[in-house]
Amino acid sequence: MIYFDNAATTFPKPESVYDSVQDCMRYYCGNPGRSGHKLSVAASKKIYECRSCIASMFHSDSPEQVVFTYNTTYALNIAIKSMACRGDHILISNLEHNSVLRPVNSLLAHGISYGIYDASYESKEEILRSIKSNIRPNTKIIVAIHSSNISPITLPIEEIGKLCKSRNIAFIVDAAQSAGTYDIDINKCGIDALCAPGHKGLYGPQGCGFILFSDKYKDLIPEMYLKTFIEGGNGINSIEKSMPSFIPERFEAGTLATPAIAGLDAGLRFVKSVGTETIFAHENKLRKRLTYILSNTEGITLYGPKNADGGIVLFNADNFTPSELADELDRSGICVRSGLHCSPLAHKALNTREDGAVRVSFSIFNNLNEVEVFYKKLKYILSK
Amino acid sequence: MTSYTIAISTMTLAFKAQQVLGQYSIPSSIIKIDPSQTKKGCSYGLKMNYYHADNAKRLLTQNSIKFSELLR
Repeated sequence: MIYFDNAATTFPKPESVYDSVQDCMRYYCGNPGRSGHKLSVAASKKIYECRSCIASMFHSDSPEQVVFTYNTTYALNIAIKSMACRGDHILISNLEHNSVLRPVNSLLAHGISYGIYDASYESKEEILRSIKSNIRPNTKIIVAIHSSNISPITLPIEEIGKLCKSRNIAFIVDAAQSAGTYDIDINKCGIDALCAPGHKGLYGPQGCGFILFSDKYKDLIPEMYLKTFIEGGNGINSIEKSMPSFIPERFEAGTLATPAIAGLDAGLRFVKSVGTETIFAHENKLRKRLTYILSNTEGITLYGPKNADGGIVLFNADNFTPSELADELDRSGICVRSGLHCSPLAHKALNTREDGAVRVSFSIFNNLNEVEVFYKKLKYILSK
Repeated sequence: MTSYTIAISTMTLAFKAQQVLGQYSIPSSIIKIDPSQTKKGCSYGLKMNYYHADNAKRLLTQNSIKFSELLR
């Protein structure tokens, strides 16, 4: 089997990730932050180690600013909804996933509006111009997908962060596709909330994601700003009826997914040991090869910028719907994803078919031989 | 040996505090503090030799780690 659906979730995982999850489940899976016994403290320790690992990977000195969530969608919901207030305006890009579009759309009912800037330009200047022209006096938040989940397009988050800072606008970054392949510096990029999954480029298990808040959110009056929408127990201040006023516990109600977080900790260490640059270069090499082959194949339409770098290839084949082609590839032992990839805005921006396209996405565990096998099987399918 | 416990509101900060103190060779262990000893309910503490208490408090303050009270 060839697995080319790594933008959905990476597979396989490093051996150390499997070992870490199993060790946690077998030997120390107490409820973290609840009790004083050895198993609970051991689970809490692993969680703190993972917070530290995340903070250092994204150049933060504050492990306590890491909030664990189930996935990026939860992270983005918390980041957006905790910061937005009635009367505010939010700007999102035209490449955003539904994990951004749907939350901001739901806020319309709460008196919060949103606009869309064009991020499908190849030049940074054009993207920044589009953002500037869409900023309103009440724009309080700008959201940017760092790397698109359907195409090798990367937004200039450092420049957008600078713009946000100069206009006193909060900056939320969706790093679902870039965490693990880009060296992201939360301070240099002026990011207020960095949202990422554990199970994609960081090679952890499904069931964990996180928000890394900037240090700016350490000493706010949360009742005035960071709103909660999930409340419950978290082992501290139990007498009080409201959630603690500080991060991360303010947003961590209920038991955390300790085994998944233990796996993520191992995944982060794997990524650090290999290096984000090496992983990016490897995926990009595979993308370049496949793009080259497909661009010389009759009946194939490729989408997205021709000169961009990344680990994703989006295409369609004449006489096949995207799902028909994905099904044929599946029967040939190749896993890809077809359809709209939860990103109707981005598909519209890239002008794909109404029913989307086929996406190939790589990880560090893929190789050039798999690309060649993929092409042979694709050619056979197309010739039938 | 008399031990001192510095109360810290969360397990997360308790680990951060333990790490900071560890960098200055101050050993400590994390314990759960009885809710009756605090005003807000469950919290955690760093237990250490009383000899280190003043130094530990100074280091935690320097590192902006809040601690609410000192229990003997």
